[in-house]
Amino acid sequence: MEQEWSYLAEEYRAMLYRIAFSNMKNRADAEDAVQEAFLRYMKEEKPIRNKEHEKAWLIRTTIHICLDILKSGWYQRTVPWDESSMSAAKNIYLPYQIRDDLTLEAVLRLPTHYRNPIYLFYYEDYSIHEIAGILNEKEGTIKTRLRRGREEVKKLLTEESTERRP
Amino acid sequence: MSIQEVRGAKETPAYQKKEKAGGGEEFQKSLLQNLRSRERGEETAADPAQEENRAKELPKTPGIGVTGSARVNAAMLTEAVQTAKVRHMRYEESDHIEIAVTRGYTLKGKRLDDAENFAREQAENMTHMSEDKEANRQRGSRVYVEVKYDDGRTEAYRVNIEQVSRDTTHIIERFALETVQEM
Repeated sequence: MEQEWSYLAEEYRAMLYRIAFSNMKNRADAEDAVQEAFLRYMKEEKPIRNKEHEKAWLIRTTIHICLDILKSGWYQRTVPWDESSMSAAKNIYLPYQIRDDLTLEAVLRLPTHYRNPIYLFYYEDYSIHEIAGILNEKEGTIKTRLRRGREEVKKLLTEESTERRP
Repeated sequence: MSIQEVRGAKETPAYQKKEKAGGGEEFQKSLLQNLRSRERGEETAADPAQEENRAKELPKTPGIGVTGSARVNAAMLTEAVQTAKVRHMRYEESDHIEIAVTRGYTLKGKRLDDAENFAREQAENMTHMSEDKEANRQRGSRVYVEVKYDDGRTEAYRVNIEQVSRDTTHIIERFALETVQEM
């Protein structure tokens, strides 16, 4: 049990935390979501076929947990006070350097159905086929969301740059 | 309707006659040629000179074609940039990455010389590289670049750095240069 726990934590914690953070936009809730996903993994009987399947299961469960929290009445009545969504990108510690924090900020402000495919495709380097498996959607749907989400990101960035102009 | 017009319509036009006269023979000839070359096990690949000429005539606007397993964006190819087989390299394996969300693609680059030299050194069971080899490595001549588009395509290129101008504006060439500088 302990061995399994440490293996899961070492292998997936950082990545799941980033995915959870991209949805929750605050550290505490993101950590809670990841822990809940691990607990469900340990408790539930799941037909895990291989490592890829295990990873996809954990990502899918983490996203579902995040969405459940976000939908809950309790969460909607509360406002996180330690981190604003504008600085959310600075709290995602990607294992590589990105030049453009503003784009990541814009991605994190997208609605869930655009945000998750875009985040997984660009920042976690998943293929459309893999994302379709993780999110339980058709590949065509993911392609459409990536295309429309990209347009939304462009709009957000344009709005931001016009707001900044004196 | 005049009589002349009716007569004219019944006559076979000159271009059709011409085609009928020579068309059958030409077709048979080319068919036999094809059959013979297939029997010899020859592919219908064009000669390198012809291929080169065709490449020069490629349109400047982006066009997508397929060669082997790699999809090729014709406008991307230059003397320094050649197509390569897609490896589906992960970010962790890459030396340099670029995420272009608003343009709909990601770029991943890896210096080929490192991996190749490493494999060669291991094979030769060498512990130290000679000065010449180190100098060659410094020149770092080739970079593998993979482009992943948001419409599902993945393209791969091999870039010869020695043929790339330092002030290039070509996306793949510039990225390959950055990959080398990144090290």
